[in-house]
Amino acid sequence: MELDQLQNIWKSYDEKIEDRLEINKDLLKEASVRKVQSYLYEFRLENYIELFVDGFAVFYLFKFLLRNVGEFQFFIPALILMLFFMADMAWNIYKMVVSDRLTYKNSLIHNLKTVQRLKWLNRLEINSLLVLIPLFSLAFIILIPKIFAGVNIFPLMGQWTVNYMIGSTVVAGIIVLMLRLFPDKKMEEALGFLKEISHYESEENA
Amino acid sequence: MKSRHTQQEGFLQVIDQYKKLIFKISNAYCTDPLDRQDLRQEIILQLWKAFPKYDDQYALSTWIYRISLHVSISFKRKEKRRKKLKPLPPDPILASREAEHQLEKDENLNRLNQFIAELKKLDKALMILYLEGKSHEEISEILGLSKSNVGTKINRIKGKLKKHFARKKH
Repeated sequence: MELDQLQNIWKSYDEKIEDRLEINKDLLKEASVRKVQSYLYEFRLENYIELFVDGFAVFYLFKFLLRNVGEFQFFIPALILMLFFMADMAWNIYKMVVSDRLTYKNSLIHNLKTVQRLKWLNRLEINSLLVLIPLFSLAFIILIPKIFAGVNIFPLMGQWTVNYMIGSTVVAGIIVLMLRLFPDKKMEEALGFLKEISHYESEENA
Repeated sequence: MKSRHTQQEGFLQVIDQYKKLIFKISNAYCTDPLDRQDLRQEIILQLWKAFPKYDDQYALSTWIYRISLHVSISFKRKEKRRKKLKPLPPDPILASREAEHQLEKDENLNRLNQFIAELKKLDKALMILYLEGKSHEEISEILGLSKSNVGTKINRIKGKLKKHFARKKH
């Protein structure tokens, strides 16, 4: 068979499908929003995983607190950590509530604002690492030897604790810098896509 | 500036005009019916996204070919990752169930699609444009290749075609 023969077969294709294809005009907006939702699939998955980890940590720390009510040197760091995980749970639930607002029943501009809000929340979360990493990793350093080996680390604390705090601040700075230099690509794609198609609505309102 | 209604209507008219082409491209790039549907959806959404920026100093067909083929190449490139993270597909914008069944029965079309399926991603695009009757110049403009490169690649495809059908005879 030669290319010319294939060309004839290809041309006959059009006649065979001529009247068999139809366009569902009403689905254009729905499919667009579904596409944006699929861009944010990993973001939502991460949210669920974080929520599960937070829930597990709160449960475990609560049990630890009950066992160590009198030991303030462990009780306080554990309480701080538990409050942090509870706050993180609330934060993740809020992010899920915001991402649930992404629906084809809303206008494209409304959906665009929702994704912009999610991006802003993400940026806020990244910046908060500058404080959270040094602060909470110290609490972890105190609690982990106690929880897993029953070791009290306080008598061993000294200059290294200060160095550790400085070091973890530097590490936090590097992590924040990297996350800001390489933002969530899927989130950017979702935003870019919505920005382009929301022109259809903004022009109507103009 | 056009209103949303006119622009959207205009876009839907364009899609209606080129729906057969979108259908053929998706069938040439994918063998699985669900993948074909996904690719059609993706092509239409990317065309919709790009439509407000369409520059009418270029031919509409060139613009449609360029976007549809680039989306198809990219769709195949991201195939593994897409399948891993695929959410539930929405209802198709371009519905075609009956057409799929009808075409499955056509032996010649099956042979043609089988041959295209064996080609590399870029060669598939080249083959589709050749079958559409585009000149080397038009193909080079749509795919961003040099004219001589287009000629060389088409000759290679011809060679593959001979081998493919010789193999089938034996």
